[in-house]
Amino acid sequence: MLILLFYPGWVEGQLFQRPVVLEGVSAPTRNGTLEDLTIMIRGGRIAEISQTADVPLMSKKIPAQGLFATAGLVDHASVLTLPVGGSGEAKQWSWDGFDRFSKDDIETVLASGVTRVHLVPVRGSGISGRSCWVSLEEAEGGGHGVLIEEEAALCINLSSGPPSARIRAFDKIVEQFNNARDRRESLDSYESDLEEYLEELKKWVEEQAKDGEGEGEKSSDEGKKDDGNDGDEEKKAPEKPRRPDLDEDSDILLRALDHKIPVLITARRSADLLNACELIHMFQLDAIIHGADEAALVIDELKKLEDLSFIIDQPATSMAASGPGVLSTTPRRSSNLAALLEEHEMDWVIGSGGSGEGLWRMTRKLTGEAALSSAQSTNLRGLRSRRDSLRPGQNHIVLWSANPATQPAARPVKVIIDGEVVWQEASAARGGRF
Amino acid sequence: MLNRSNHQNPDSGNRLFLFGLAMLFALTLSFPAEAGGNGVAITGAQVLLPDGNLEGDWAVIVGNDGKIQALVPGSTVDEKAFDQVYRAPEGSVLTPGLHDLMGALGTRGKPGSLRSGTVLVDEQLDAGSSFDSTDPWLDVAAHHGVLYTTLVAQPLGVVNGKSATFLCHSDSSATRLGSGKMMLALGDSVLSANRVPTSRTALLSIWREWMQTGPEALKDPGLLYVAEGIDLRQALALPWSADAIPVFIHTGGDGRSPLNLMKDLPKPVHMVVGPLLEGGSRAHLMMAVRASKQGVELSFAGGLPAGPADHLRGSAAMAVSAGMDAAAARRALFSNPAQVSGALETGEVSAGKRADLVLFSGDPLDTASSVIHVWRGGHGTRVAEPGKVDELESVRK
Repeated sequence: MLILLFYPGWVEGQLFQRPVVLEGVSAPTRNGTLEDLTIMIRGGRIAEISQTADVPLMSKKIPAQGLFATAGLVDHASVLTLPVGGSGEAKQWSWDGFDRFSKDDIETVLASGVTRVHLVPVRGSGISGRSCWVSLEEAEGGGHGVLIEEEAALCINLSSGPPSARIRAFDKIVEQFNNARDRRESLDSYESDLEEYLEELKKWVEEQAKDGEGEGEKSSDEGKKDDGNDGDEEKKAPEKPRRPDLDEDSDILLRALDHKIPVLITARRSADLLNACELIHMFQLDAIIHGADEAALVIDELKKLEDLSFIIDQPATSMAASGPGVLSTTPRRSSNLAALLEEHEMDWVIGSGGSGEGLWRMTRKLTGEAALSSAQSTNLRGLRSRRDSLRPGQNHIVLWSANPATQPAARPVKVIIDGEVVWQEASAARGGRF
Repeated sequence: MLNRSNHQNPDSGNRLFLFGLAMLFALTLSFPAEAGGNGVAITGAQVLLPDGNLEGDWAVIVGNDGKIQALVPGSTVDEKAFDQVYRAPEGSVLTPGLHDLMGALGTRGKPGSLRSGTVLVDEQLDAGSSFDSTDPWLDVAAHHGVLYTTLVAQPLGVVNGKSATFLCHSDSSATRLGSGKMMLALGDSVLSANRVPTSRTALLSIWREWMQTGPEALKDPGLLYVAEGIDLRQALALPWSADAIPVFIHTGGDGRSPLNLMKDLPKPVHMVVGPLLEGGSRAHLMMAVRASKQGVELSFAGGLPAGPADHLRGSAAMAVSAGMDAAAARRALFSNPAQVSGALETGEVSAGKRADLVLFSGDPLDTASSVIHVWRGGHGTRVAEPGKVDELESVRK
């Protein structure tokens, strides 16, 4: 009672804000592994990582002995639960297509250690829609998925369909951006026309008022003289300028032209990449290129653009698609794309391009031993990167069965978001259908 | 004292002991390492043991006959005694060849060319007749570590002839391995509107009647294609003799429910699953993992050349991520397919086996690993391009 009287804050903290503690975990770092760590989570975020931490009396302990902790993985290009294909438009929004009640699909992704996804709408050639960032924690209204950034990028697909369709799509995109520019001009001129109109209207009203007074005095005399005549022509009222129609698609494109949102362009073949370069240059866009399989062939053109960054993946192409004597339209993928971009000092991150389930395997495949540091460094310009490391303030934690930096057989055992275990290995065995 | 990795199956201790004895025998009787001999010595790599574990500090001695002469402690090898010494880079792993089961590798991408026709029980059909040794994808596959292809006829009848296994090598002549196994089928693929059986009930009746006759085709374990979970359940209800339990080929769908019925079968029970692809059926993946945990020895099906070149290792990596034991996954890639296909001279790095070897830059389960070098019948081919001169490990004298 005395404690309650004298230290009410401490008691409240102990009883109602119980810290969550992970004891005996290891954490891979760039220089090795830190062992026997205690991670204390308060208010959903890591408050302390230490080998000598004092564990509070009333803390909630999550069994983690011998496990390896990392920050949650981030998929920079995911289509998790999204419909793929069909026609798109700028006003389409990936959050609208996200099915947060698709429990099996989302838990499968959580089971691979991915806790945040950049949902990229993938439609046919042309403008696909707008992407968003989603955290895969449990949502208040049920299901998984909390929106953490509404409008991440305007997404354009330059890589789908046969060459003729891609050329037409490119021309249409240019036309759409030009229309957006025209719309801005007409909006600007409408504003100035409106101001002029208001001035003229004011003058007209004043003149009308003046004329009204004069006419009142004369009316009795002139009425007699000019009976039956209209007299001087009445000055017409100024015409109100017509406001441009509402056009949500163009308004979104205008936000991209005004650098309020970046543009994410999917381009894989060299010809598509050149089209992307032209589009970026033509409209001075803040751009991220997704795919870039044949970047090696047009690297000089890509280097001419400032602040260009890339989201790369590893498409699973058929061995026969590029076999001996095969004339294929499949992009010729550079085996060392990540190294090539590094060499030319271009920023890149990895996105699965799929649901995100295979992101870690893809990251290891593309970056090898540097996978973990690659997955946790933040070096993407334009589109805000969400990758992060295990540090105080972090609220997405993955506990692995072994060291993911060195053990290929390591797999996530628990996923903790905001201090809550949102997935653990035992539940995975019950997944799927019978 | 052998330095063991963490992943062990229950029998691994016994296996290791037997393996150690075999190695000692080979060391003392077959190959005096200190005395040297002609051939190639591959040193410095971890070696994949038959139980699926990786073991360091071994040297593999390859004879001029294209077979593995011995596996000896690396420190005992006198390099001067060999025609050629291959010093593998640090961290690399030497394995047998990967095996593309039931794919179309070696048919120039035409898997439908071999059909059992209208005969329900066709024991004469030879899947090897559809093999084209000049298929250029054989060499492409070999560069990804896939050194064997097992072909089977389409499962349109109850018995669809014998499987055939070949070395992946584009050449004018084919290297056939093993004698093949009878390809059986129980499922929708056997049903036809033009002939009996037209229903599953009729098919089961045909199967039961045929089994009662004690057919020659069921004297040895064959390959049984069971596409759906219900096919697997019905197959497990048939009266198999203990020494002729077939390899169950269940390459899609969800067969988790009938897995419990396998517990009563004499071990080891083999099953071919997959291929597992990113974004593919979660139910099939979890079925494979559950089967493995239950003690079923898995092999991953092929799918080349239609699938991605590294999809066999990708299947294993996915299964390990979903909970499969790493050693079991390595067995599913290397030693089990040799058992399944009947190519018993392959699938293990041990004395007397064919010297078909693959040197990976790391654990083959790791998608970051790549193929550095392959040997087919002892003949080596460099696959990875060295970045600099000192990465050329091979020393010729």
